[in-house]
Amino acid sequence: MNDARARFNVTETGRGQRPMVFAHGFGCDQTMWREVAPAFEADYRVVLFDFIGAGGSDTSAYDPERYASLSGYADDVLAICRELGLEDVVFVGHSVSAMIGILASLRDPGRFRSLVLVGPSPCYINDPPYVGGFEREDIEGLLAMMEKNYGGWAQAMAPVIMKNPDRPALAAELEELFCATDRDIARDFAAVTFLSDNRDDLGEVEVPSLILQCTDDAIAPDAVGEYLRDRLPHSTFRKLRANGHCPHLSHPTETTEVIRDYLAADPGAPWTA
Amino acid sequence: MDGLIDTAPCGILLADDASLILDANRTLADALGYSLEALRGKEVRTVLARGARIYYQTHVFPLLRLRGEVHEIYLSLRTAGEEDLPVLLNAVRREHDDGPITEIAVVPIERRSRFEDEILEARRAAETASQSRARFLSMLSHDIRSPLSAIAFSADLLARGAFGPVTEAQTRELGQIASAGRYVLRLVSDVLEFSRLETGRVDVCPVRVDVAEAADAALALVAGQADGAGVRLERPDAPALTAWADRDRLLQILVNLLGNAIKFTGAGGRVTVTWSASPDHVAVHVEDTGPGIAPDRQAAVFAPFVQDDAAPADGSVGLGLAISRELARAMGGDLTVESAPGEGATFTVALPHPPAA
Repeated sequence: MNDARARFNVTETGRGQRPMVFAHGFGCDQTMWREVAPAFEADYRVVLFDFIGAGGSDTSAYDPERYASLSGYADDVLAICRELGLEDVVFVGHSVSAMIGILASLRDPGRFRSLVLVGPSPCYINDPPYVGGFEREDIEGLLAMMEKNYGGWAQAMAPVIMKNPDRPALAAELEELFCATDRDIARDFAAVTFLSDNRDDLGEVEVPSLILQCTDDAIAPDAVGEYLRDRLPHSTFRKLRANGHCPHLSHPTETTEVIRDYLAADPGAPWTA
Repeated sequence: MDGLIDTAPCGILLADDASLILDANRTLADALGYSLEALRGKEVRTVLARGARIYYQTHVFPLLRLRGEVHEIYLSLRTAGEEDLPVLLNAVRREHDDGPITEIAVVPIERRSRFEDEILEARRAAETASQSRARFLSMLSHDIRSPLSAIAFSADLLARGAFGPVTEAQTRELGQIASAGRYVLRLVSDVLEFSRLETGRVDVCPVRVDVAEAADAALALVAGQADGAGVRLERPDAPALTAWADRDRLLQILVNLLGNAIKFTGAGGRVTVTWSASPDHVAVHVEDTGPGIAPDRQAAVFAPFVQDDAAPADGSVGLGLAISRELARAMGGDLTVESAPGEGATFTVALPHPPAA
């Protein structure tokens, strides 16, 4: 199947010209942006999608070799941009997608106007003196946990969703969000996400970026955000009051405002002039 | 927490939206090795194993936010003594006067977790075995079947004098090489066919089949074997009947059933082919006067690689009935047996009626 819209379950909204592409992180799908993306519809052409294996994507398009590294996912972002004819893109990536956006910008810098990196980390594994926050065994623990949970995940979720007949839209959304997540793909994605090391790519980045660092983020601790701040050229660092790893869900207003402020300053203008 | 909840046989924990622990019951505090006072005010992540922190943030937290509840989540907690404690977790996020509170209940599942590890390990082993089996079958197909065919073919050519005159003794020996080769070839083909059937990779093309014609064709193919074994073949006249079947596959099943019946009946015995129709299906019966099959063996005869101890040693690998039944099922029918010890056996191939024209 060659149609990126179907393959990646692309949703397009918004009344603006400039494209704003939202990429979800590991464990979720585009639903995660529902509290933030609508705020940009007045001014942008908002594009949401699911990576292969998540949400409503076409899981048959999964290829373990292509997705053995994050560059396969970066190629997907570029494929979506090309097929939808997106130029001068504002790319918003959460968690692992922040790094996917950076890789995509390295391959085709002219395609992007700016990158908004929500809870980014170039490397999750400690490598003294670098502090990523995790040891390899921790990631193996995560993979084992996923294996045990995904076995009965869809079955465990379905009856609970049925118990919510008064909120059918929400139920359908959740079914999309988690039940459709393919177990084997999710496991591969977790391994690729948390075992990748993209620290050496940072210095090459030309596209301006906004780093959103959460408070007390168990997945991307402060030290990681500061590492990025110091090594990512043309970056702006903003510490959020939002705590945790999903500010777009837990603190959508603050997240939206910080992104809006950054974009209002028109970052990237010199780069596309 | 009050008395009942404090000592309930499951851990209970309350957290605010900043993931700070507001309260916990004594059961949980004891399991984690903390005092209640030490637990209060800690962040939830500090009592999670590191891998579980990621899982909590990427799976549990979004679900709690989007739906307000999660059920049956497997997680590992981290005790004060730095030990992992596997638990099953349910949680609900509810609005309270002071803001939303997440109520979490956990049940330690150490033994169950080990048991699940064993199941997962067994699954991985089965997957590996299945891959090895696929490689073995591919090896059978390519590395054994092809050279065997070449051996049998060359022996035939030599025996026929294609490369110069051969003596009578040489012809006899060459014939043995060729027939031994073909025999092993047939065994290999049986194994491959069964594996194709098992994985549903066999095409059947059902058409209208005249049952009497198919029965006669099968009987003709085993006439020599029956003569040699001193077994009488019978086919009483019966009304014409049409089944919906792949003729070649039906023939293969009947030849297999007749061959078995002749083999087990022995000299002086009788093998009879009849057919009947019911509203549901068309049935072809192969009945023998052999020793019969004990009730507790009747299911086993269809299992692959099973060979009755009483079977004359013919070197077959015991796949005939397994293949026949899979073929019958692939055609939308079935193969069954009725028998009592000492009273012979009747194998019945059931097949669909042809669709209405």
